[in-house]
Amino acid sequence: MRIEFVRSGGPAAFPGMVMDATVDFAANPGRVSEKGGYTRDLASQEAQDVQKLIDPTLFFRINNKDLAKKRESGPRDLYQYDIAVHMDDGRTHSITVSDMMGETLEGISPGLGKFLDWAKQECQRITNYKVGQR
Amino acid sequence: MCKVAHRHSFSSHSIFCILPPDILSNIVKNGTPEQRDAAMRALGLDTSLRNQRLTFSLLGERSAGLDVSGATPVVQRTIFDAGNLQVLPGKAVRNEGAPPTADVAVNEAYEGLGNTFDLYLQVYHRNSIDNAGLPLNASVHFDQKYNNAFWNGQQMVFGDGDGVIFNRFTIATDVIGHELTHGVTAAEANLVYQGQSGALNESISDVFGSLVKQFKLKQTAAQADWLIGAGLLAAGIHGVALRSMKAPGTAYNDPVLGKDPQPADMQHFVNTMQDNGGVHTNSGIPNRAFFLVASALGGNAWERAGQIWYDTVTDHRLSKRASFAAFATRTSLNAATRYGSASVERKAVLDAWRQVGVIKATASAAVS
Ligand SMILES: [Zn+2]
Repeated sequence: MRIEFVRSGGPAAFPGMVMDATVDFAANPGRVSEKGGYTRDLASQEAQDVQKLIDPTLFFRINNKDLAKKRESGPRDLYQYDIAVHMDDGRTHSITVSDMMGETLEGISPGLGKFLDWAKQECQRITNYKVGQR
Repeated sequence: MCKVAHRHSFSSHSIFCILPPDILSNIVKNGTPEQRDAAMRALGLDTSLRNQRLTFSLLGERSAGLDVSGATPVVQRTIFDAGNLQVLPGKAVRNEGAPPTADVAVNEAYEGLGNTFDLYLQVYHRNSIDNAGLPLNASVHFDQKYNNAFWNGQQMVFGDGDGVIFNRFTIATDVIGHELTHGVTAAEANLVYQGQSGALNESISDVFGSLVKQFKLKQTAAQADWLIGAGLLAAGIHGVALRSMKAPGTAYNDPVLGKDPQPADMQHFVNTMQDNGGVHTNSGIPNRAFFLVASALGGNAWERAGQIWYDTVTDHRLSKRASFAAFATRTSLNAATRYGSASVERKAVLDAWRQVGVIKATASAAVS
């Protein structure tokens, strides 16, 4: 399984702060890489924990139109997260949420809200990396 | 035709439907019993429909409703400290009328809410976000190093910023005005936050956010910096602000943030799926149109240019999925209604939209 998350938007939508990251579990035990050059190998426990947060059966049933309605009725200027799950058998599904929709996701697929929290923390690590590269 | 009724395709048989709420309120106070009943019905219809839209927009609980008492509206602020937790609202630390505290974020939030309330009330006779006296609450120190500020439908939320990209979000008055204006837009035109209508939603927040700052500083259009979020970028970032309304695309150029991608005209419109279809990017086009109108008219931008934009945001004939062109047409019609079809104000509006490429030079007759 491979999970891709792209963060865009926010109060200014800086182009250099768009995060396009992939969590690849084929790289044993798991590795995060971002298009700007950031990489982080996950410890075995973290890789297992992150993988468990996604329930593919529930994830693939999520209706993006319902999420879009929820997003439209929420606050403006939030960060947009596009989360895509790519299965080893070739199936792919993606959803789009805002950074304040953790509870909604948790209600739809237990663990998914925590995955969003984890992705947000990873984005802060990537930010620090990008700033360090300056 | 009643503004609200028109939008919702109701039929209307009453003169009361064409009267604005403040005049209806006067009739409620001073009219004959028959007039009063009709005015109350018109107000009730208006209020119920507005409530429906507010609920849909998750704008939260409204205050008691439209004030028909005739009393002068007053701001009612409470600032809370979220204590760097994700819990709202947190502990109340400054109430209306209380002296400044030792916390600069608390005081900046208090002032920014007041500045925004003042602009809307004193210039546009709007009583708070919902035009019904909604108390203004804000929480500062939300979460840890939180890089954002937003109106959640019930209150303002301010992060401290990470100190790497952003400073504290209370630092910029126009950003506070920007966020609160999202509440105003949700209560009025409720523009869908996607694509062109989303970019208009963003632009309206920038326009009135900038006007909050200009009104506070008593700056003319020529004196204003027309920047959004000056002072918000952390030290070391190569940039002056988040956006420039005067020269979109020039606010920053930094190795980490990248280069400001805002287009200044339709030729450079950006098609993207990110950021709700580029709402913070393409807003540069209507932002510049407003700057051009305000600069052409001169003097205080909140007066004639701001009034035309306010008339348009509160124009119930403006579709929630309005394109830039539809919005431009409504600004032109509202300029004509308020100042006359041959007025300099209307000419300035048409010239501006033409200059940013939203109205084609040959198509101007169509909106005349
Ligand atoms: Zn905004």
